Amino acid sequence: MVQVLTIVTPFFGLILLGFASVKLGYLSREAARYMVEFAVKLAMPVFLFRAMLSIGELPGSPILLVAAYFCGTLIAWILAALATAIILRRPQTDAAAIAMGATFSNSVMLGVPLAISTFGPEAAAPAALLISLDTPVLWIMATLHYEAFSKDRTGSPISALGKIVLDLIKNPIVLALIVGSAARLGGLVLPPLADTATSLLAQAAVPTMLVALGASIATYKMAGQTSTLATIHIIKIIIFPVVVFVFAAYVFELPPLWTAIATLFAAMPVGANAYLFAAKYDVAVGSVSTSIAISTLITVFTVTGLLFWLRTVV
Amino acid sequence: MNLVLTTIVPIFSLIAIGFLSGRLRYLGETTAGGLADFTFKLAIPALLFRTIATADMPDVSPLAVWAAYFVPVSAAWLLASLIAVLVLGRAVSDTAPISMSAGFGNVVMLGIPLALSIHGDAAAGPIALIISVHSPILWTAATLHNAMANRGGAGPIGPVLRDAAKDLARNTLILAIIAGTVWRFTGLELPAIASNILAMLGAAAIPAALVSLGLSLTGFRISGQAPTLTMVLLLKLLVMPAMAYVIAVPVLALPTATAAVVIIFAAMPTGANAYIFASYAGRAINSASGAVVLGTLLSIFTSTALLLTLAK
Repeated sequence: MVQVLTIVTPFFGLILLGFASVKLGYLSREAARYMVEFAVKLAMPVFLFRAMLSIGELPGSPILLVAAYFCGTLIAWILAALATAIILRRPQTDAAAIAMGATFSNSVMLGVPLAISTFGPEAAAPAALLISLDTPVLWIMATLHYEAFSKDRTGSPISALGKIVLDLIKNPIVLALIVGSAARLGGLVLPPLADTATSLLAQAAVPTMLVALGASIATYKMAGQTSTLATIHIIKIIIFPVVVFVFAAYVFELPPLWTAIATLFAAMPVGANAYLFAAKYDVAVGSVSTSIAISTLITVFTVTGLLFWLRTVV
Repeated sequence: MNLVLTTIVPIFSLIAIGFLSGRLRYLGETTAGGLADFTFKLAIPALLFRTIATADMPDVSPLAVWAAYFVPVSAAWLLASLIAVLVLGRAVSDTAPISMSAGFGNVVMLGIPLALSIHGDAAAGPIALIISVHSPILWTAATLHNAMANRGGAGPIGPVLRDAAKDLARNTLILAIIAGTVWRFTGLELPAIASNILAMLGAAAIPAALVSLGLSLTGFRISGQAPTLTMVLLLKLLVMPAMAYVIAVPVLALPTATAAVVIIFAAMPTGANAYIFASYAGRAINSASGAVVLGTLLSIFTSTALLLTLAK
C-alpha cells in the first residue's frame, strides 16, 4: 500500500498544485493553456517516442487487447445512451456527449504516467495502443451518434470522418507513437547525444502534464444537472472499468499486465476530449466539463484502491 | 571532452527546439510566456528549494563568491558605459541599458542547467548565493544609473530601494532559496511525499527553462548598431569570465566546483532582463535585443570552449 501511495500522491499532489495555483491567481489561466501546449506538442511526444523505443516482445495479441477495451467501451456507451433516454429524458443528441463523458478516459495526461510508474516500461506497449485508438474511435462514435439524431445536417458524416482522420495524422502524440514503433521495428538505437537530449526533454513531460491538468481543471465552469452528472460518474468510474476487466480477464483472457492496464485506463477520470466534443456541438457542455473536475477528484481514491488491488493481481 | 559534449549538446538542442517551434509556429509565441510562468513560479523554485535544502554545501565564504562574481560585473558595467560614450559616441542616456546588456547574464535559464549538469549538487551553494542577489542588485543599479544619466542626478534613492525590496519579496526564485536555506538549518528531513513532488517538479525545471528560453528568442531581432553590439558581447562573453577566472582561481583560490560555477555564470550571455530593462527605459532597445539573441547563439561556442578549459 505504501508503495502505491508513494506513486499516487505526488501525481495527485501536482494536479492539486496546478489547480490551486490557478484558483489562487498565482498562475494565469493562459499559463494553463500554454503548459498543455508545451506538454502535448513537445514533451509528451518525446516521452512516448522514447517509451516506444524500449518496447520488448509483446506477451499477447494486440487485437485481443483492443477488443477487450472497446467491447467494454461499447457496452458503457449503450448504457449511457439508454440512461439518457430513459432516466434523464434528454434528447439523443445530448446522449452523444454524455456517452463520450462516460467512456473517454484521461489516458494521456494521467493514464500513461501512472501505468508506466506503477508497472514499469512493459506498460508502454499496451498503453500506447490504447491511447492511439481511444481518441479516434470515440470521436467517430460520438460524431456518428450525434449526426444520426441531429435534425440540422450541416455536413455529411463522411466528411466529418475524413476530418477526424486528418486531425489524427496531425496529432503529435499519435505521430510520436507511430514514428516510435516504426523506429523500434527498424532497430533504431539513439546515438548517445540524442539520447541525452531527448531524455532531458522527456523528463519534463509527466510533471508539466499533471500541473497543466490541474490548472486547466481550474478553468472549467462548474454547471450541469445532478442527475446527468451522477449518470456519467456511475458509468465512468464503476461500470466501465468493471466491464473492461471482465472482458479482459475472462472473455479475451489477456496477460495479467494487459488486463491491469486496460482496467486502469477505463478507470481514469473523464478526459478533456469529452469536453471538446460537447463544446463543439454545444450539447451537455456544463455536465461534461464539470464531470472532468469531479471525476478527477473521485479517482484520487478509486484509482489508489484499484492500483493497490491490481498490483496484487499482476 | 565527452562530459562537455554531453552537457552542451542537449542543453543547446533544447534551446534550438524551443526556438524552431516558435519560428515554425508549431508552438504559439505566447506559449513562451505561459511556459516561463510555470518554469519560474513552480519548477525552478522547486528545484532550488529541494537542492538547497538537501545538498551538501561547500564551506565557502559568501563574500568571496560575491566578490568573484560582482567585481567582474561592475568592471563590465563601467567599461560598457565608458566605451559607449567615449569611443562609440553614444548618448549618455543610452548607457544604462547598454551596461545592463554587458553585465546581466542569463544565469537562471542557462547558468543553472549548465552548472548543475557539470557539477551536480556541489554547484547548489554558489548558485544560491549568486542567484539570490543577482537580479535585485543589477536592477537597482540599472535603475539608479538610468535616473542619473537622464536627469543628471539620481534623485531620492528611497523609492528605488523600496521597489527593489518589493521585487525581492515577490521574486519566487529568491523566496525558494530563502525557504530552502531555512529548511536546511532546521535539520529536518523532507517528508517523502513532499520530496517526491518537489523532485518531479524539479525534473521539469531545466527542460522547461531551456525550451522557453528558445521560444522567447523568437521575439528578438538582431538590429542593434554593430559596434555597440560587438563591444557588449566582447565584454559579456570574454572579459567577464576571464576576470572571474582570475579572481576566483589565482586570487581567492575558491574550491573547484565553486570557482567553476562563478566562472560559468560570468560567461553566460545577456539575459532577457537586459531587454526588458531597455524597453522600460525606452533606450538602446535594439542593442539589448541583439545582445540577447546573438549572445545566446555565440555562447554555444564560448561555453563549449569554457567547459573544455575548466575540465583541464
